[in-house]
Amino acid sequence: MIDAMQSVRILLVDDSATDAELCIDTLQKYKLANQLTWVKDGAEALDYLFLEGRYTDRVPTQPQLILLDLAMPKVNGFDVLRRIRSDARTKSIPVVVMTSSQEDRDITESYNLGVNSYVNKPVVFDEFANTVVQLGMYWMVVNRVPRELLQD
Amino acid sequence: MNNSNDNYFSAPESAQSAFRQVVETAPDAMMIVDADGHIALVNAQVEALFGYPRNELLGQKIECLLPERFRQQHVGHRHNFVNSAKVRPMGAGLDLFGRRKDGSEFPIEISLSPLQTPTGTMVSAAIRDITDRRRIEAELRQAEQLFRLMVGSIADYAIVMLDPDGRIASWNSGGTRILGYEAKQIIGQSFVCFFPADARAAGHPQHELAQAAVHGRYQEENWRQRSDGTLFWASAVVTAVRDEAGNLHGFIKVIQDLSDRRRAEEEIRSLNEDLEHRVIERTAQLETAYKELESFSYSVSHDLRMPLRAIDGFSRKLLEDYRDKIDSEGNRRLNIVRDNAQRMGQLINDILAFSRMGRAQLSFVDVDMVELTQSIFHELKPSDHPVELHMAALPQARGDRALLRQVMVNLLSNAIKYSRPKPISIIEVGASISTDEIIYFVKDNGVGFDMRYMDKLFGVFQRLHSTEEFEGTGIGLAIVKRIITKHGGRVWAEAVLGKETTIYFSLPRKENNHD
Repeated sequence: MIDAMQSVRILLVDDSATDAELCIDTLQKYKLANQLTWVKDGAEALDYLFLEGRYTDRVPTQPQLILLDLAMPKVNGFDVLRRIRSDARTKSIPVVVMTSSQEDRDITESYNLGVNSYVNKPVVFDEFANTVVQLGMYWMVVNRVPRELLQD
Repeated sequence: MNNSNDNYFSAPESAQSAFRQVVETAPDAMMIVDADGHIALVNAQVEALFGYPRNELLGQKIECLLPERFRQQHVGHRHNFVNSAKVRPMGAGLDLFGRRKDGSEFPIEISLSPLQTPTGTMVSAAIRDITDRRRIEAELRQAEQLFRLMVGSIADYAIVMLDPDGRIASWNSGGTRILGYEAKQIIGQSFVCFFPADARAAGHPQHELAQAAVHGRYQEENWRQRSDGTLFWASAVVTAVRDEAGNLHGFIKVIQDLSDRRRAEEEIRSLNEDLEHRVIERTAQLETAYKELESFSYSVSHDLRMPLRAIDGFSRKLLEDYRDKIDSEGNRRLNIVRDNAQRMGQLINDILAFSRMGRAQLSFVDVDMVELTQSIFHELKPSDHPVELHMAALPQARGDRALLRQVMVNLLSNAIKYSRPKPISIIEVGASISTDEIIYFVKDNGVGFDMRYMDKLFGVFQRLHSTEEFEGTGIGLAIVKRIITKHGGRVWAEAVLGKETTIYFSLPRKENNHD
């Protein structure tokens, strides 16, 4: 069980360094962030996923979970999600939108673009931490992903 | 001369007798008078007309049948007639009168014929009582006079008689006022001068008369021209005048000046256009403002929470990770930072919820208010304080289920919150029905409020208690008001400070609502 958890590769896409740090800290506390990569906006996320720019030479294994913020400069979360779902290399990767927004139109648009889950980031840290841990547990422990995503 | 008269006197006796009978039974009064004016013969009609028996007339001077004032001059007239005798109506152009035996007078018409007889010239007279005709003529004259007076005095309409060719035969004061012509200038002129040059060139005046002649009536609203050449907007009606046989005698034309009405209409039109223009402008401004507001609340939703999360999160991390280095006062102060960040987060949530409520589309359904109230009450009921719910049978509501649920959640949670200082909270939920609305209320035995601050009760972030006394941001009743207003209802409250609060809300009744 612990091995399975530790082997999950996570890509965290968030332009907020503080949100990212709080998220990573929380996941680490529960040993859920061993293979977490943080990219700080949508453009970098696309470079990472499609091995472009500074990620041309990265190990070409894809993440098994993407935690995606919506409001980001240049390329926003919707654009990233759209690209992920329209490319054979990434279309089956589970994507969870993590955002401050509780707007209906954001939720609707995310699901229309094929998101797997939509969660709010609470302001109160204890609630935030709780959400992140539940999320990590579910997607890394409970959830099953296609075989091709399990390869190292 | 007249041969038949000669024959009469030379005819055989039998024919003379037959002719006498004809005269006797003739419908008119007939008599024969000799050259000196003696009455020689009268028929029964003369007796009836003048009231004399025959024998009192025969041999008398004809003047006895005249009013006394005419008798003397009549003698002269009589002599003149005999001297230059010819058939003619007597006193043509004069008013003639007969005088009865009782002295009363009556208007008559007389036809005279000279008769040449063996005994000299005689005169036959046919006399007709024209009392009735005179009376009818007088009445007609009066009626016509009255009519002329009426038409002449009408100033609001030009009423003009036209002959069949369109020449003006009569004029009234309305014509002078509206068209500017005096009667003496215009009578006899063609009515085409009432039309603007282009209408005249197009033959419109003739068209108007032709239409009226064919259809009996022609009506239009169009430009007409005054004597000074200025134009005015007019209503014109032309009616053909025909006798009983259908012969065209002319037309009656009625013209009304509609300038004032047209001006008023144009003013209204221009005001409307102006208004429409302003509505479009304002709508665009509103749309812009609305879009700005939307993008504002969107960015609030996205961007304003993140720094708060950092403040709260990193304070929490300080408290956890630097436990050994922060003393109890530092702890207290960091907790104040966290409390305020969290409170700010709550305020943002509330203001966003409130703004979402304004944009929400209502979907109307029947809502069982009893079931709704009970389920909410069970959710909210605190485990550490006794609360009693007293609920009457509530009528079904017609409204948006989720929003009405929000209303009841806010009202019941307020009731529970503000009655907590009492040993037992007692919450009463009831309703009353009037013809056009249902009024629901939620009443609690809590701390109440000062009615002087009633106007603040339903405002956004308005609170009548401090956060220390009762937690909350002051959005609950503002949301209630917004939801009820969107449903077309009203919200109000009554309270006794320290004793109780009742919040009322009404929903308009629909026909399919249960009573």
